[in-house]
Amino acid sequence: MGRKIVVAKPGLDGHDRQAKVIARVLKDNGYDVVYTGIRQTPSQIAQTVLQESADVVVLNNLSGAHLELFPETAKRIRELGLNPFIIGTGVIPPEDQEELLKKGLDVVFGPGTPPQTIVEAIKQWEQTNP
Amino acid sequence: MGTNQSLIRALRNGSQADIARAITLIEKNDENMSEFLKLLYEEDTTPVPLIGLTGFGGAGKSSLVGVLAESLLKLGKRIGIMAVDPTSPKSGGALLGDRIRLQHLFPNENLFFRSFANKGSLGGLSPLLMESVKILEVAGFDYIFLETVGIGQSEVDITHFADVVVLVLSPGLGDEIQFLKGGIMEIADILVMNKMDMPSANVSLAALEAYARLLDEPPKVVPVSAIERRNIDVLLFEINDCYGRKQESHELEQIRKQRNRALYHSWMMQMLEPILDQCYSEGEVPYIAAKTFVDSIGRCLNEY
Repeated sequence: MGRKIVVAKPGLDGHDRQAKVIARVLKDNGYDVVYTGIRQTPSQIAQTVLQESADVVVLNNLSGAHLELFPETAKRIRELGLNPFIIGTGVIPPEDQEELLKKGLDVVFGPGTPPQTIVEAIKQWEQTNP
Repeated sequence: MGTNQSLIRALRNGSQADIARAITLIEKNDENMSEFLKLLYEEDTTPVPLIGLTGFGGAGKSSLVGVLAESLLKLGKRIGIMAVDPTSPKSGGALLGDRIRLQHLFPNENLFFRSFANKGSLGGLSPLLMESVKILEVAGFDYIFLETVGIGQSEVDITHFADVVVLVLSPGLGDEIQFLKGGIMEIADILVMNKMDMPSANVSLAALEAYARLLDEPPKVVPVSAIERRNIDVLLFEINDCYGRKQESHELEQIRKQRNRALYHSWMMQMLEPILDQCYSEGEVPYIAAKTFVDSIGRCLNEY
């Protein structure tokens, strides 16, 4: 049974080439990927994760609002009693990555990350969460 | 036993978390599945209109489901939507993009949307999809929409399964309409010409109407524009009207019987598939191998 992944774009950032590339690479690696489209609120994303029974959530933001949006989205998801593997991606400076990890994200990737690195992170998580 | 019963109780209350959990239980072929399904079918449910939408990719099925749901939500209805997208034959993965068209309706306690990958199932509708309809029925939805993957064999299967079949077309599909003539066009209850906001849409509409008139049982033709929210109330009226007529003529009872039979078939195919592979080894004459297998089942059935 393939894992289900929600790729979501919280906030007002309207650029989604990166999210689409990630979604496509995940699909090409055998995952079922639900893409939400742009301009999502944290509660919209949380309800999507719940309805789709997603195992993994990939958040993507390029506008610099990740410190507000990512932790809030992770909080809303976990408030629903869900415990997916939550990955933060986008234009995230190294100094912010540590903080996001403290605030509910499981792993964070900044600019220049090869898509395959995200796939590897998911595969690693799958091994400990059969 | 206890967990299954409490899951059914939660479903009756329409809890979204539990609807998702129940669908996942079937998806993952959980060890509790058969007991859960037994309990699910013991539930007394009022039939819920199941509306099937089919049509070429890009015709606007998702957008149309979105605006139909939007209108019904305003009337205080509870809507369940199941959308199917194709599985990649190369990787086995899928990109499920149907949600994008109606994410603006969320968060919403009265709207449940679930995306499905078709897993290349040739029999068209997978047992998972069909059991999900049952789950949504028990959860007390007012309407259930099923959006198919596109046009193909499975689109004809939908007619054995949905109460009302809506074929979504868009302007400029001249050749495609030719292609459809022998198939789904004949069995759709309602033909929708979407994107009526586009130039020359009227020409395509006229061609469709001319074609529809020639059919034995001419279906309703409804021109709409999903993005301009044009004529959506007319389409809803036609859907309700069609459902009502089928209810009066007892056609719905027939459809529901066919649905259970189709479900039995698709479970059977799913269960047989791994065994079938085991019973053929390289070098055997394919016909003889298949016949030997089927004959041996026949002998078992006689003893059974």
